[in-house]
Amino acid sequence: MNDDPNPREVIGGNNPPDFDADKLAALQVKLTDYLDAAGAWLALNKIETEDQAGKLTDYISGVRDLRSQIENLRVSEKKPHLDAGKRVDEAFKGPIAKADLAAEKLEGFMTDYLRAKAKRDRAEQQRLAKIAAEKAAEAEREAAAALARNDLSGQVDAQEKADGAAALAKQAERPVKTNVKSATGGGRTIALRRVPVVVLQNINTAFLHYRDNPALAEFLTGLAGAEARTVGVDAIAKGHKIPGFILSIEERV
Amino acid sequence: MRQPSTARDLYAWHRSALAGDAPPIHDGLPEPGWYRRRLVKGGPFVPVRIYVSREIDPETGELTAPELTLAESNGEQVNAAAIWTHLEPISRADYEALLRLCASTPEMAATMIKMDLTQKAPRP
Repeated sequence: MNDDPNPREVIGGNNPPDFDADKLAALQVKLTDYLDAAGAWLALNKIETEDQAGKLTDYISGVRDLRSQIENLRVSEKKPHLDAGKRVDEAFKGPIAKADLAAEKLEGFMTDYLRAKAKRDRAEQQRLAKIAAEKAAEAEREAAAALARNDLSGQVDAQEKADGAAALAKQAERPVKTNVKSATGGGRTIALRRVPVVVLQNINTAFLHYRDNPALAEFLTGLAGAEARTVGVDAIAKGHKIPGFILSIEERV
Repeated sequence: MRQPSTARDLYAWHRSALAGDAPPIHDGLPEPGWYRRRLVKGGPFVPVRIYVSREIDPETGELTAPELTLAESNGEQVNAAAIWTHLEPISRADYEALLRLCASTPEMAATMIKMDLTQKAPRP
């Protein structure tokens, strides 16, 4: 018994294909012929006569035409789906943009509020830290004075004051979490978080920093390739240069 | 009989929790104060109050029976010890604000289902 799962054994598994399978099958028949012929050409290893070269020219033209026909069929068969997708995108674009705009604008409100709250929290912590330091200094002075006059009660009082100052200092050092929780419980907590922001200041230094990154080399090669194609082979043959690149001309079919 | 607990003692844990000291939570030993909780994930907040019920002799000022720790969740009496570890301490002002919000927000009445905020836009 075959236990392999049948991928078509699902809802919609017997739906017709989303393209004209007959047209594709007709092109595939032609392609199979061309692929068989490719085997025969490859068996030759190399082209030795003008006659063979002429026939191979026709083969290459033919297989390219066939490829174009397959590609054109793909494009035409896909077009209704793309158009449908575009219509869906078009219909949804507006509402999504409006929702985004609403969230973005009101997140701005929330950011202002949270920044002000964080500022208040930090100021409060600084105030507590200052009070704690003052109380600690006062407790130290009182302890010293009580010790000098052999005042046991004063020493205990000073110690209590010092403990209070230490507790206050601990409270002042506690990290502040600036966030706003949902009012009803249905929403997510929104917090102020620190995110890195990058602004390019010195492009030369940046290039030096990323010089070993292959993505940079690939990007620059892409720019140089585009420039080389724009100026053309004649200009390159006449000595056109792109700093940092070796320009040459290669012959290809 | 012993003297009734002072408010300072009763609410010491809650005060400490609100101050951010993260006092220890002991299973089965609920601490009086004001709290909120969710009955289901994503569900609305439910206000919870844990308080101490006691009988005091008016003549001596002493307890006539042991103090009982009780809990009121959404207006109903519940077992304080059973729910206590699921509670989030909030200030009394926040508790009262939550009570008002629950009264003015019909969606919060369905405490056993996840809230769907898309049904109605919250307004200022």
